[in-house]
Amino acid sequence: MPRNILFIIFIILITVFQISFLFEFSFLRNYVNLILIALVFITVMVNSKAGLIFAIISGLILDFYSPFSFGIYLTALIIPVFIITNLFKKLLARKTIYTLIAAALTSTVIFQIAVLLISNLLFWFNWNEINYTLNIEYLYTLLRQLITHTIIISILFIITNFLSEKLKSKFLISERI
Amino acid sequence: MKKLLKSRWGIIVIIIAGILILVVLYRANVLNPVENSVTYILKPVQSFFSETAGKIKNLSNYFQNTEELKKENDKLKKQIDELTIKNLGLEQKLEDSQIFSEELEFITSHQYDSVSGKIIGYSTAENLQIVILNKGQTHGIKKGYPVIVNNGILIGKILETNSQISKVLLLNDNHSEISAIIQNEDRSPGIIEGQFGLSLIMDFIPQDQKIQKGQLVTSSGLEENIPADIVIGEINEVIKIDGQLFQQAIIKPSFNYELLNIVTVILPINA
Repeated sequence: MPRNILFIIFIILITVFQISFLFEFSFLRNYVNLILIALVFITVMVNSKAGLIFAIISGLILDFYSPFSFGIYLTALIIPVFIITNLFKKLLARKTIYTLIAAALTSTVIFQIAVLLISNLLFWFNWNEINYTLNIEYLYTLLRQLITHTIIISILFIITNFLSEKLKSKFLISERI
Repeated sequence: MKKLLKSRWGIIVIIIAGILILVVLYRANVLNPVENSVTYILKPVQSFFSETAGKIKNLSNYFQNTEELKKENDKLKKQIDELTIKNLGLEQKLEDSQIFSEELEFITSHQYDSVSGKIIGYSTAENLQIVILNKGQTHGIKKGYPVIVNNGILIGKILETNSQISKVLLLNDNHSEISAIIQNEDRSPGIIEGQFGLSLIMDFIPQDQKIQKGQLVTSSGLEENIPADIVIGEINEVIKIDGQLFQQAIIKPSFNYELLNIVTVILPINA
């Protein structure tokens, strides 16, 4: 139970960190979506259930601070969880750096397309006052995010792998003793 | 129900139904207490993160300044370094209080009602120029109210508000449109539109009117709740094409929107 509470606090902190810290820096605003990186990492490295919980809590908070209609971010974060869980079902059995990168790239594209499509759809129905515009700046943001997300998720994988190897050897030694 | 939860499609159906229910509840304002509570609880955390980011920004500015100082005066560098780091926190507070007093002076001299607040975050949509203000409906803020900085520089309008926070649409967002006038002899009218966070452009300026670089641009007062003559920026470039009905002007804002920290919302008198 305390582990679950800690996980929820972690999700909330990551989300607020992105809104109030990372986005304060204009050069990071269009390059990094920390929430998406954390979501992919948790879905692939932990499991899809944890990823789904992450998507729901983070999506709800993002929607409260979003200028769009409620539900857009919630939906846009849940979709990648389902897609990477089903698309990479076989690959997820072996958690390699390539699986993680493929999942991060797919999720970034799906998330951005979902926000663009849903915000525009609701804009046409007058549910949204503003919409995402498909322009060169949007495509640049997507491209920048694809590159930075690949780099960040690779670094995260290497660190996790290194730490888990270290921990594994420690446990093996203690077992032998 | 258990069977439904075990199948993949069952989970998808439950989630879609859940999202739809939440959206309907939100639109029916049933989720307002939840939203208000969440934003109220998260406000101190947001302030903490935002202030930390502000300090880091100040620190990077400080290092840039130090580079210049280094060239000018190497001997004083160490002393300046020590003093600047010591006074960093103090400077931030002083800066905040100066901004507050400038905004207050503007407000009192123009006899407006107002409420000041801090920017505690940015909108979740990366490409939109929307910031989050730590004041909401409980402070008298409503949709459409103008937001100013320093001694009366218009930077945006309130887009949405709940009891705890407000979302401010900055003038440089491409969804922003505001009626303005140029401070020349003709008081040339036009509409200022944002350019994807990059600049401001004033459109629909009658072709026959004389405008030039450096002229001040202010609000026209034609829009509800936005008083006239609030400074927006100055003309940076004039775009005049023969045969067109209107001319355009690129406006340089009087304030760098990346440095937003303390802002004031102008309320209608006796709101």
